[in-house]
Amino acid sequence: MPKDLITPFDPERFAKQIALDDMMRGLLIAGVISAVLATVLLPGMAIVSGLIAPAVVLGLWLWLSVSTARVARSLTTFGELMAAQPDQAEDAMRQMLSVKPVMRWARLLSYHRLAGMRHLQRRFTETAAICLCLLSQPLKGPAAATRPHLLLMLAEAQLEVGNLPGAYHALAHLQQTRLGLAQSLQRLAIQTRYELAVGAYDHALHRARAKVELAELMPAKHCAAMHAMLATAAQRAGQTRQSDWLWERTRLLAGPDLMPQLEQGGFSMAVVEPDTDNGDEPA
Amino acid sequence: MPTPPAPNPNVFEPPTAEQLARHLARHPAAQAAAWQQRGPLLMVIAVAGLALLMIGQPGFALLPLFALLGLMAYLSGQARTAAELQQRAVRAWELAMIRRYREALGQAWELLPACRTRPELHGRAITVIAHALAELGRNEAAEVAYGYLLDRLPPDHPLALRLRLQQAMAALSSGRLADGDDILRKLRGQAEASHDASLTAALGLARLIQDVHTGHYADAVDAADGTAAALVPLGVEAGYGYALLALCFAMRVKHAPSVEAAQRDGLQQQAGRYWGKATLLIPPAALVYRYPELHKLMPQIKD
Repeated sequence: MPKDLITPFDPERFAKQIALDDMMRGLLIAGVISAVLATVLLPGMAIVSGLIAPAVVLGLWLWLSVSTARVARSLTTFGELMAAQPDQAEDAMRQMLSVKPVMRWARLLSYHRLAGMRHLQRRFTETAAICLCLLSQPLKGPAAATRPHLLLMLAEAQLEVGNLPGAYHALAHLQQTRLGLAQSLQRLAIQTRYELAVGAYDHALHRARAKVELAELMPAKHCAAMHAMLATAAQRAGQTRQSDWLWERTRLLAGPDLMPQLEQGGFSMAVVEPDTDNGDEPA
Repeated sequence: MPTPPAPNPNVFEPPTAEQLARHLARHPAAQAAAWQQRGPLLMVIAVAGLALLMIGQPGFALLPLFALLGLMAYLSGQARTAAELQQRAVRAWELAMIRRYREALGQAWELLPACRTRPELHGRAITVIAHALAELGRNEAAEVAYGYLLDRLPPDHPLALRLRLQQAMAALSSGRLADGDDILRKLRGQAEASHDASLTAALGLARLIQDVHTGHYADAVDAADGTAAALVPLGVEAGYGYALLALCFAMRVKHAPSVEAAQRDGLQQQAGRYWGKATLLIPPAALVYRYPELHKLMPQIKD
């Protein structure tokens, strides 16, 4: 765990940054419109309409593009950095967030990576706050693909901090969102955990065989946790045979290291991993 | 004698090793053409030239703005194409994940020519091809794909070790025992030093395949406890390892008639126990499909 974490997420700072980025974009659009108007309305001033106005627009555009490109370059390498050198990832994130102005999608993606990093560090309260802020923004362009991943992180973070209504809302939005296979598997694990937490054992066991088949596609640890959750649901619903079969499989899948945790109901597995490719990448 | 049914044109037929080698040679990863790489620069030069020609003309002032718009349209078009290719690669991978190997293979096969100028996607498409071919039992063709990837990866790349293990398994399964053994010997130290439990597990499975193919059942039986424990990170796939362990125990009984009756019973029970574990995770039909050797010995294991 890095010693020197950047200051906790501040929604006001986030809003200010977004406002500045939007203002810059507004200036650019206004510049283009002014240049066109100058051409039409001031045909005699060719120097202004043909040279100065386009030069100003081009300058603004280049400034915005260069700073955005800096952020975009950091975004592509950030996943590897976070896995290999978490200390340096904090520094990289600090630099990424301090660049201004950048295009809106780059700003949103930077905060999306920050949410992923905090999720990995198990700072779930902060994860939930960042995800909620991002989801309240219109996610367009390259940032649009992060929506399912944000919802998944939010649902899991809310479960981790014990905010069941918050988890329910995130899961409800996920039901209406188109997900890739890896994300569907993550949603299944989170939803089953939620159903166990609220005592909806019958819901957890609905189409249990299909859920087991899907669980088989998960990474080994998550597969074991999913089996343990279904086994617990079956046990509590009084379906002893099914529960025994699931526990037997869980024992084989979890191994002696993980099994005691699962038997005590420790299903916290952080199934949602930091996404480094805008949300549609295989886990 | 009835004539065999004509092949279904809607089902992708897995390629042979030669067909795959030809496909890979025809569509290698390549740099984008020079004119594509320098597209934006060429556009700027063209606009500058036009501007010079149009000095004093009424449209002169609007030209830089049109150039800017053209550049933006070009870049967004490039981004859209990249996103579409990415989606196709994800789709192929997802099909392989849900075990629809022929469809995954077909998608990745068609994706290959389209993503030549994107080395990362090109590599991913070949990885899907290799994986699907190995799962379909087309081990020689899978080896071609693994070899192609390994020739182009730096030796210390994190994926290289895993691919070499897969290559060894494909070589062993296609009966090329010397090649498989050679790869495994070179890998042993590296895999054990990697501290990646899933890699150690894959190595354990590869060794079991080797023991079964070379008839070293006693070695597998002696190391059974350690191997079984090491297989856990494979998840459900560990079932294949347990089935092979069961086979080793059963064959140990068959090939060692001098073993005492009590010891025979113990070995037989162990075979049954491992078979039970294997079938708890994977249906018997799937086990036999992957390792046909199990079919001949199933009655013994069941006893």
